[in-house]
Amino acid sequence: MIEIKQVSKAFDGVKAVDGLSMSMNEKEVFGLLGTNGAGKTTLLRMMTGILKADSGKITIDEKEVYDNPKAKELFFFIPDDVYYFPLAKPKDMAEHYKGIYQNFSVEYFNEMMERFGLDRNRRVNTFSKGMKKQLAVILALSAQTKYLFCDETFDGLDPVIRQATKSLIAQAMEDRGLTTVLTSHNLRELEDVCDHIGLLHQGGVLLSKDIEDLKIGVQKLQVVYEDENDSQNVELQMEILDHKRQGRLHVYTVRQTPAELDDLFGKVKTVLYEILPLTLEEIFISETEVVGYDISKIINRSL
Amino acid sequence: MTFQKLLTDHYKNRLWLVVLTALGSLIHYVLIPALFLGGYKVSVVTEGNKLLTVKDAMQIAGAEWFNFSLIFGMLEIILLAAITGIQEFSYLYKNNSVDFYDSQPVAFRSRFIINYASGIIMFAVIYAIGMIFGLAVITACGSGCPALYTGILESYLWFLILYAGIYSFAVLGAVVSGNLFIAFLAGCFISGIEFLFRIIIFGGMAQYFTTMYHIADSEIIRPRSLPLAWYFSYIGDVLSADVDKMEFVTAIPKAFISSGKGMAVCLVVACIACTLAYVAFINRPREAVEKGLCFPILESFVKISLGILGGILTGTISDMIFSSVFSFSVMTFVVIAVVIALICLVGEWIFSLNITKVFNKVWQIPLCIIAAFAVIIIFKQDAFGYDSYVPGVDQIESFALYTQDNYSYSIITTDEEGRGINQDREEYLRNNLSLTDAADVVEVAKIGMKERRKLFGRDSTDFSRPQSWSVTVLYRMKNGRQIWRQMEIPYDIDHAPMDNIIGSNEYKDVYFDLNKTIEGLKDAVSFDTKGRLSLSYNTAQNNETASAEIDDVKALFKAYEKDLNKYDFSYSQGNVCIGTVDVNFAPVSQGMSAENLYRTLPVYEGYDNTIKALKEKGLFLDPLPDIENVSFVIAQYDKVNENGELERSETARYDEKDKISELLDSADINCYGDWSRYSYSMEDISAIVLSEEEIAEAGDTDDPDYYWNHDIGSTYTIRKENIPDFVKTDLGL
Repeated sequence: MIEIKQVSKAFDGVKAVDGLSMSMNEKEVFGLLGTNGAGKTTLLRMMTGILKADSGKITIDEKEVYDNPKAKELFFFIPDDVYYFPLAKPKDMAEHYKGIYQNFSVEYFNEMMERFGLDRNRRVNTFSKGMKKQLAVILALSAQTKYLFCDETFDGLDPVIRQATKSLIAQAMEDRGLTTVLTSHNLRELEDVCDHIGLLHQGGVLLSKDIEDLKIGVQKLQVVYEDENDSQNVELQMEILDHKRQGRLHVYTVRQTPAELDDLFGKVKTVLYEILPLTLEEIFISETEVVGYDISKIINRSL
Repeated sequence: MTFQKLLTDHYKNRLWLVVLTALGSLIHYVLIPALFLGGYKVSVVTEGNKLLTVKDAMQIAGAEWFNFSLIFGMLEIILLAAITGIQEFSYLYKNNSVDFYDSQPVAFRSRFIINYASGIIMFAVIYAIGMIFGLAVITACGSGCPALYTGILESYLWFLILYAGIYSFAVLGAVVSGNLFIAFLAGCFISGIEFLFRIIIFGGMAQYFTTMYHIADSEIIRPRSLPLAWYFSYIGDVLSADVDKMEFVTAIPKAFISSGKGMAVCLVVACIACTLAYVAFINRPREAVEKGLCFPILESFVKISLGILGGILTGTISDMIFSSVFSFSVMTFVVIAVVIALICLVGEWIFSLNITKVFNKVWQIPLCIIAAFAVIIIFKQDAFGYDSYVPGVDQIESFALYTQDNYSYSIITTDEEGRGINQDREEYLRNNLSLTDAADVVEVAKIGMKERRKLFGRDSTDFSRPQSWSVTVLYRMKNGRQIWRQMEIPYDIDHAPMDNIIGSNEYKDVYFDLNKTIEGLKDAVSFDTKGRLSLSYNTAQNNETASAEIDDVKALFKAYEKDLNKYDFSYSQGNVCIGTVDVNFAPVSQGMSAENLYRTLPVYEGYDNTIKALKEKGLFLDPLPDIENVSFVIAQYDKVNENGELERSETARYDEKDKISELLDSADINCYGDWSRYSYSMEDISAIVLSEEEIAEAGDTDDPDYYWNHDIGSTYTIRKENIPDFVKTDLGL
């Protein structure tokens, strides 16, 4: 388990992370979301023992991370800008990591290199950006660590490779209980892989929840009442997060379970009553508007 | 991962450094000696009267290569150590490499040890291998001998220590910096700051302290923390040996042993630098990538140090230019302020790499100005009493004291191997004169220091020509310190303390050590039997030279030693130095030549034994001509203005014997031995004395230029105060 307790970090007087507390369970995919400057990379670099927190504590399996090889043995970090030795080949990098990580699997490495069509004997500096990231993921998974930290790793990958990479990670999670922490400023990127989402904003945590909890707790429904007067009564019985109206069509976002809504609308005559699937983006908008943030200004809505 | 594996992995990813080091080793130990010695052509050479063997000649060639390798090696090592030191930690300058290394399960401590040790081990191993090849090369070329073999081993050790020192400085510079450029500057700062400090302070002392003795006190400049300075001392001892005389056989091992202290200091300095680098590395904020220095306090330290030193240097130069050494100059203050401001602003620009931030921390500017100006004021006012310092009698172990106004710049003596050499007079006295009459030197020094301040210092009121002798004193203190001062002993000083010093056997036995001169000459003569030994006697106008044997010199010196019994300060004041006797040995060997040896001794008018010996040898010349033989005398006065231009010239001719006699009595016949009084004046006149024989040969004319241009007659100076009245009248004085 990863515990982050009241961690702060400032650069030249500017707080990049401010009193942040969070925990990440094992065998989950944790997504760290936020725009540029939110503190994602800074937090990740503190979690990987590169940066020292100004205050607070970060532990992995109850071991403090900073300058602690025992803690660092537990994870592999793939940064946004991956470093390779000059003139190195993939097999050279594998050789290097084999000496660093006791459980590094050369067989797995070779197999993955073949599966992804990457040449082990070709110099890495001749690879494209996407190929370098692929190699980074292969090396990371070959290290067979308990945790994997990825900083905007999927950026720059084509959709096919991105999907293949995600399935590799998923396979590793299933096979050996890998715990993955991903950062991104793309909500759609995280939507289909993450179990838990943490939203960072200006160095702090805006929101940290399981996706299932988010989805269960918030529903979107379309309603057309037979008698428009019924709407007032129904609305009083719902915890409405968002309400849009187009003529007689009401679109509600409410904090209610489907069963509660079925029960409520069962007593009202409606022309149309439908519960719609919510995107993560919509959930976020709803959740953050409640606390007064205009989330559309924070997250990237790109596809 | 084990240390060995980490190290191997480390080298695999820095192959170019390994190749560079190997190249340096190959060039140093194999290529250059092979080219130098392999193509060496041995011709017939002589050393003195001895014909050298080919083996000797090749060993000499080997020694020449060795000397060259010490200098060339130094340049290699500076380059290799600096590049390697910075390169080993250059990963700290990019976020991606920092992320790569620091996220791995390797403790920072281990990372530092691996990176630091790899540079040292790489050099040590590669150069050791190179050295073995080098030994083989010089053996194969026929230049091998025990001295060179041990020299190569010893120089390897020195190379390693020098490398460790420079490398450690470079590593320290690298780990406190955020980018390559700053790392290079930081390494230069760390290496040079002590030297810069010393040279600026020395410069200030030399300008503001009138009693500072520049030559000996230049020891102040030598930096103690710079490995290169100690290395220079080592190679200085090696290079000073005469290769042609095969002095390297003893000089090389001796230089190594003498450099033991230097090696120890360099090792300590390297260890300190390594320790500081380790602490900095462990505590370095990893977010300092592409910043200036990682620790803001270091940036302030660097800027303030350079600002203050720059201000002191500027103030010193400015005072010199505006002639305000002992007064306050507004211009100096302004210049100091401007220079300091520039240093601080440019420094901030370099550290921040952002010109819009140059005005950050402007508080440092007034701080530096105040500090620099305070130092200048301390210098100007001699706040610590440098120029009035005279130690207590009970603090002095021994001292040396000698005048700078002297006729002889060298003394013939012998070196440690008994070889005859010319030794610089000052160096000889510095090393050998050890007087113990502390009470008298303190009494003399108090007067001398005050006189010096009066003439040249802040108390200066008298701008006429000094009526004093420039004297150097070295106090060897009981606490081991050596203190030098320059002073002016006035002509009218009380004779008593000076007699006690100058007339003591302690003084004369060293100052006039004639036995050492004899030993030196004996060695020179036996080494080069074809060399020419001669004795000369010189007056102010003439000289006489004759070849001599050692026994002739011994006989003369024996007579001289008898006369020395009379000599003391009062004697030098009461008797005129009428001539000097020179001993000279001129070698004739070709190629590897013996040294030309030369010594001069004053002869006073009362040195009866010496004069008698000179007469027996046919060398003695009367300081004045026989009046009966003088045909006439031309007195000449040339008046020159302040710019040295001739305004008028007056001459007068005297044929009358009484006037000639009076003129000759007034003539200055002083050959200026130690403690002679110099009293040149623009109102002195010249007197050209023409003998009967000279006139018979050259002809008679009143034109003194004719005689002067044809070197006819003897020219004397008549001091202003001694000019006869009739001459004054005739010349319109």
